[in-house]
Amino acid sequence: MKPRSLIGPLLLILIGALFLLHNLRPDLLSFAVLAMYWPYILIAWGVIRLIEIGFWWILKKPLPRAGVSGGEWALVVLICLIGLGTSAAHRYGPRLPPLIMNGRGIEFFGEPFDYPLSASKPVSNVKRLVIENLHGNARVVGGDVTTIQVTGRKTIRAFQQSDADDADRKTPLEVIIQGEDVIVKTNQDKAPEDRRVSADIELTVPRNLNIRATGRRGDFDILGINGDVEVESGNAGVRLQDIAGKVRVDLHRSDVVRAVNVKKDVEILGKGGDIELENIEGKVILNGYFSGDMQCRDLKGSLELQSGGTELRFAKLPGQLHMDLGDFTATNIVGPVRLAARSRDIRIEDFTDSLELRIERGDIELFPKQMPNGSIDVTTGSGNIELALPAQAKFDLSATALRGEVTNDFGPVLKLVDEGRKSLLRGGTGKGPKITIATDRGSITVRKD
Amino acid sequence: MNNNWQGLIRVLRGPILLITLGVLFLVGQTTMHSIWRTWPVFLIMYGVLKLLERITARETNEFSSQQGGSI
Repeated sequence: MKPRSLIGPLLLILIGALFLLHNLRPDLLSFAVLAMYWPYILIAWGVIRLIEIGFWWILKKPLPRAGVSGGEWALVVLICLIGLGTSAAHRYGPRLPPLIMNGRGIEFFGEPFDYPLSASKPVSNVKRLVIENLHGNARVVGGDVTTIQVTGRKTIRAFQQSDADDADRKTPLEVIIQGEDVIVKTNQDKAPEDRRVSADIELTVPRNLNIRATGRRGDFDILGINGDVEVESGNAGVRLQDIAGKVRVDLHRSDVVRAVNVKKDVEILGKGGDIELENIEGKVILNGYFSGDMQCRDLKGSLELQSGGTELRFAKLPGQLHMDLGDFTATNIVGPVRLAARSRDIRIEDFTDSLELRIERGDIELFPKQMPNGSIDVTTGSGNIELALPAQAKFDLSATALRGEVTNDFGPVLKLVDEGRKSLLRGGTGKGPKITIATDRGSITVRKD
Repeated sequence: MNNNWQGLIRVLRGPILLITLGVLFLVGQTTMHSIWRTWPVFLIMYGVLKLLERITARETNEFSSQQGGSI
């Protein structure tokens, strides 16, 4: 008798255990974890099969005709389709209708019941506003007022009006003063387990307050605040405008973070999509994984970006910058500039001070307009490099194309040496910055601007 | 016993390909190299395992003919 595989019962136990864990400790096994790590199911399946076959082989039992049967492959395809769908939903979740996914699972049932929200409290001797709104959007507007005014709408999804009314009573909007904090809470954590409550609120607050906003899902718009602003959320779009204090945004996921007219430092952490920064007077730090477009304009302080395999630093950006997964373009940027990336086409116009570029794959175009004060050090593993220098510029150049041509516009002051497939260009026009450019596979053009 | 090597490799092919698939999906999830770029690894793996199967089959045949064949 051929031995039977243990995979079927083990898969059932695994699926049951995952559901049980999700029901008992939803914080441990979130949708995001499942979307990220589902391929481990395939790996575990393969490893268990290998161990089984090893045992049968050692015990000299008859082996099955195939290690993975046709029916099992069909199940593998199904798991892959569900896994890919889950990952895509996780990645593009905010663009899907909100009823498909939320922190508490899948929500197709029931109908929404709306309740108006309203509260106000005079505040004095209060330094910080804390907003606790798990689900829903919050808009905070700073003004010359001494009272916190909250208005908005609560939405409860339920089968019956009475269930929704019950959930409404259990989740009152509260404005509480605790020491130097004033706390605005929507109490959604007190709703019955199977009720989904969300609240869209708008707050008018004294502009001198510091703001701390927390949530799991929902956008934050904060305008006209003189204090520091801190936003922490599982999934949020964040838009900040006219903030005189420091800004710190920490997100697990986000479709967009936009900050306009901020007078102090901006720090954005976590995972996100698009980043838009304009007129920031302090230092900007971006640390995490940002997969969307990044647009910066008029940054008066330095920027440090660490995102996946991309590292970017510069001192100032009077002009503008755009970066997405395939391209990086910048105009009027003040160095020292350092950019290291895996795969990207680069175009930088009008830069000063030193420039260091390390690209694994991608074309590079540099147009400094005026000769920068510092050195230029550029390397790409695969791609063409074009450098346009002012006709009267003084520099000392060393260009190396391991497999490609070198074109020179500066005449005999730069000496071209061909060594088989390797082309070298060496020389200088006078005492000036050192320029080192190299590509492993691609051509180099040094021309007059 | 020697005859079984070919069978063993044939049986191991499924689980090894399954693990490869899982690893490729995982690499796609955690790095920039998505499954749409790395799928040829799966094809290479399949080819290598088929090659091993053929080689062991040839060795088995040579072994059988040296023994005078079996009835």
